[in-house]
Amino acid sequence: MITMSNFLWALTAIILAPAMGALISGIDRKLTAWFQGRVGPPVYQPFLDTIKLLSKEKNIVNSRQMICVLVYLLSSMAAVFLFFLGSDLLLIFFVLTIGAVSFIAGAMSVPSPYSQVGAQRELMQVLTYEPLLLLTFVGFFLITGSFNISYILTWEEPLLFSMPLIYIALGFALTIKLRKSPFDISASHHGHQEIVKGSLTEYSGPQLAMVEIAHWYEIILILGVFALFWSTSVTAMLIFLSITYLAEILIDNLVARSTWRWMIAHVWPVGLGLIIINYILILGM
Amino acid sequence: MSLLSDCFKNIIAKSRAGSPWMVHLDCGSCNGCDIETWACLTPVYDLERFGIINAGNPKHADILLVTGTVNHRNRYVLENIYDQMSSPKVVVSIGSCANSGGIFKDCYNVLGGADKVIPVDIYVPGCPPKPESIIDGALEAVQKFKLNQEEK
Amino acid sequence: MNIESLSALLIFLPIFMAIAGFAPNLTFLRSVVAGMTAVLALGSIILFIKGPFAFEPVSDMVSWHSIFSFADFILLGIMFIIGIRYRHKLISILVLAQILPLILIKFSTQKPHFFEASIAADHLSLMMVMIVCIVGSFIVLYATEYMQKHALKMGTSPLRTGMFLFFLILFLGAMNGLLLSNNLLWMFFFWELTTLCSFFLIAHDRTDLATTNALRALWMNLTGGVLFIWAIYLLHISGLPLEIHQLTKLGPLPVLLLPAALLCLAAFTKSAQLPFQSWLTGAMVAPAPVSALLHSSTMVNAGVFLILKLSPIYQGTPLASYLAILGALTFIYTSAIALTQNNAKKILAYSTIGSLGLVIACAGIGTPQAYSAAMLLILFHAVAKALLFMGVGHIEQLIKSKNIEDMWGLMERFPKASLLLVFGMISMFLPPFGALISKWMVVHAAAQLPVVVIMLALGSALTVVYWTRWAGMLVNSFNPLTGEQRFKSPLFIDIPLTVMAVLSLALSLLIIPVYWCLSVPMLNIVFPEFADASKSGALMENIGAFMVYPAFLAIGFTLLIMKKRRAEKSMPPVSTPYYSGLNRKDHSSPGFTDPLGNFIPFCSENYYLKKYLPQERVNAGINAVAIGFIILLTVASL
Repeated sequence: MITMSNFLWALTAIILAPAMGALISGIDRKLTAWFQGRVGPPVYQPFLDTIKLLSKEKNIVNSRQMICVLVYLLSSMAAVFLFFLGSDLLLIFFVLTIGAVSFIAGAMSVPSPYSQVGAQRELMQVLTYEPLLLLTFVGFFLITGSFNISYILTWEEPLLFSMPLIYIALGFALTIKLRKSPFDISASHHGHQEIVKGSLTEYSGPQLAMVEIAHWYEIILILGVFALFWSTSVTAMLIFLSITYLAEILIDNLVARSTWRWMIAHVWPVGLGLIIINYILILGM
Repeated sequence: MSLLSDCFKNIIAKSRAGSPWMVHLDCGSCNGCDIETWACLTPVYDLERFGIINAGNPKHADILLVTGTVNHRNRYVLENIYDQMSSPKVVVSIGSCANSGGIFKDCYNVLGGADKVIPVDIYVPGCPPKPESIIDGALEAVQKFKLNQEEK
Repeated sequence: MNIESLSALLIFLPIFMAIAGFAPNLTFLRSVVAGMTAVLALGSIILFIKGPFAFEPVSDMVSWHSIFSFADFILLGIMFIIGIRYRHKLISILVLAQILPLILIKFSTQKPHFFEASIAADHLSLMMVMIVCIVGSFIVLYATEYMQKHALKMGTSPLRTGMFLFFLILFLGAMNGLLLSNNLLWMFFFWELTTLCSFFLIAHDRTDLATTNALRALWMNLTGGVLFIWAIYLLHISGLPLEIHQLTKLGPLPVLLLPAALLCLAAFTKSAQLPFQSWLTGAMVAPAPVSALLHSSTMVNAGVFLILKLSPIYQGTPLASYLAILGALTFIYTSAIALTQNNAKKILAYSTIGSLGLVIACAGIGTPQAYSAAMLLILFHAVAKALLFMGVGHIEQLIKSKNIEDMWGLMERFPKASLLLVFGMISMFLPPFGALISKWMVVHAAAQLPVVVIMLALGSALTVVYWTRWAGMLVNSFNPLTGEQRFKSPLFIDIPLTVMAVLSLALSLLIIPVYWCLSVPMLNIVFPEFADASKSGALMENIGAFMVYPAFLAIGFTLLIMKKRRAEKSMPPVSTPYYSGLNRKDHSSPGFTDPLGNFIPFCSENYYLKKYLPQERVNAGINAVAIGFIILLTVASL
């Protein structure tokens, strides 16, 4: 049910999420630097980057780009809002789809070879992670009998124990969604230069900043989805999330970028296989 | 009101100083300067600790690092790349060739330094310059970039 | 006007008006069609407002039943002649296989049937009648313009164009008849009438390909007819009523299962489900209005209509599970194949088959939620597909190609047409549009059946890819749009397209009232035990639908900002895309300059994954699987 406190909580989340997301990506960069034996930028670096980008001159190829990037930002904001409202997981999934689609449409709207290649690869990424994400949500439903987040949160034992394999599959999906190595195929997130940043090639200044902010919202949303796996106590949840994200950063630094062919050929069978086995375990119990 | 806007300007200046992204264009250098420039990104010099990222795309970048002599063929490329950067932007020319044409100055195909084509803000001398001086030049450029608010 | 005459009007008006198709005067033809559109649309809405009804048409002079029997034989006779004319043995055999049970029924010693109500409608039928009357009529209106150009291009005579329009209008009448008849024998007549009309429409261009594909459509649909009539025969010899309403009241009886299975398979042929999908993709050779009509509002809907109607009979039986699996299988297969296509009409065709598969999966799942999802999906799909087919037809005439690779940057050349097309695509797969809301309900409903939901998840990811790709390339453009280069479509193409877009938007906005008016009354009938539950509303229960509104707001907000921006002319400076610094300085056209100073224009192509999904092999495999399931289904219902 939507209550006033729920609503306020969701509003707070909308305001705090980008700050949290920025901090998390700052920590990510610092840790990455540490892994590579560098000093690295300060933790608040993402804030500096974004404010700088916002203060730069707008420079776009066509007006559709601006609409697309705005829809992308709004959709990830809406997804975070709905998540903290305790809404329906499927609805959040579809709202995320709006963002993904408009991000791709924005990249495709420009006659630029780099942006086109990025868009095509992004399409393949969407193709790969969407079923996994949807099936993870169905997994929640199979155990709790509801798609409703506020209901799932009331589940008494950590869901990780009943769906460990789905957790791994979701890890794949979210690595792809966050465009982290080995799946930073369409537009790398760190200072790499995969085909001059693929689907982000044609954005500059404030538009690029908006993409970045949308990305922060996505980080928070994704951590939120992971939090559903261990929602019994706040401390445990935080530890669980830290471990999950650390593992993500570690993988990001350990592995090289794959191709989209490799991605589909491996993530689908492995991810779907894990999910199906987990379904059988759930239904068999 | 002016206090607020001052504060605002201050924040923007701080952010700019903390996050200058660079794009590097080789206008036909012997690769000496390029290697030294890239060396700045390695863990030894770690340019990223200043927030500098090698963006690889003029649309994302704030600082243009030019190396090598500018000739008739690539002057258009240099102009186009410079045009595609959103302002405010600064240009750093690295090494003797980019500064003045270097030993190739009098070649039939060489125009001279990068400043013949685009406005250059900082010149880093050397053939090739040491990574330390390149970093120094980049940070000088950052100071210019940070104050460059009116252009917005 | 009473209900009897109103329903007679809806069936017979198009049948008699069909002759107007031959009118040599374009203005006359258009005014007749426009008038008919208005009458039909109004009539269907009034009929809907009046609500469900059932009656037995009586007439002093003639018996309607004998008229229909007589008409049956004439119809089958025509098809037999087609079989002879094209030396297609299979068609002749299939026709004979239909005449045999028909004669057996007529001359059987069983006591004659008593028909309570040969014409009847519930909310499902009424909704479909509205779709046919409104969407269908606008397609006919579009056809009057489209066929002018088409006739010029193909060099067809006015007589043949007249024939085309004749069958197109006749089709509406046949479809209305099918939807309103409760008597299976009458329904069979209209069923075969749509088959015949579709044959003539597909064969219209008289190319070799058109004839082959039309014949394929004919024999596949005749197979369905054979299954249909034998199902009636089985019902007849077991002394069961031949009326759908009475049958559904009987509930899941073992004796009903085989006829129901046969009827469902007949519906599979009509809705072009696996393994009968090839006729519908073949039908793409026909002119665009045919595709629009067959795909959105009429032909293919007949199949899913029958399946939904019969749902109380097979609920809870193995048949239902097989239907769910076959529907989901069709969905994932068509979505995967659509990904490998670059022919615009083929993509649309596969997407149609997939959506119908989804409807059938819903019917198989059979919860109230699934049932209402099915109804909403039919509605939204009809509107969106009509828009897409008409739009693609229009664009095909403009750029003379069906290949989507030729549609790069169409936004620049034909802003309005491509905007409408993009809107149609978005309304197929993105929230907040109706088609997605029904898809959301499907996943909700299917979540108990992991096998089905896995297929749905994979299939829906594939649909996202092919729609996004196509929409993305349409909006690709370089120059800012300026007022001068705006292209104006002909009025009679513009109106139907705009109406469909507005309809789609309005229906999506009004999803909750639509749900209350269409689905809830139907659910109360089909699922009496859920009647109370549905009062609170399956849609409301999951609150999500309320969230549709914020999504609308967000879109509206964005557009508003954009508009304001435009108005203030604060558009930022427009720059060239990044071409490694080798772009033209003067912003004239996108591309690179090579070392010799030659200009190399930008071009791009999509990934089609053809190598990974070789169509022939996938087809063979999936057809084998589908046939296997059908055999299982038939065995299970014996």
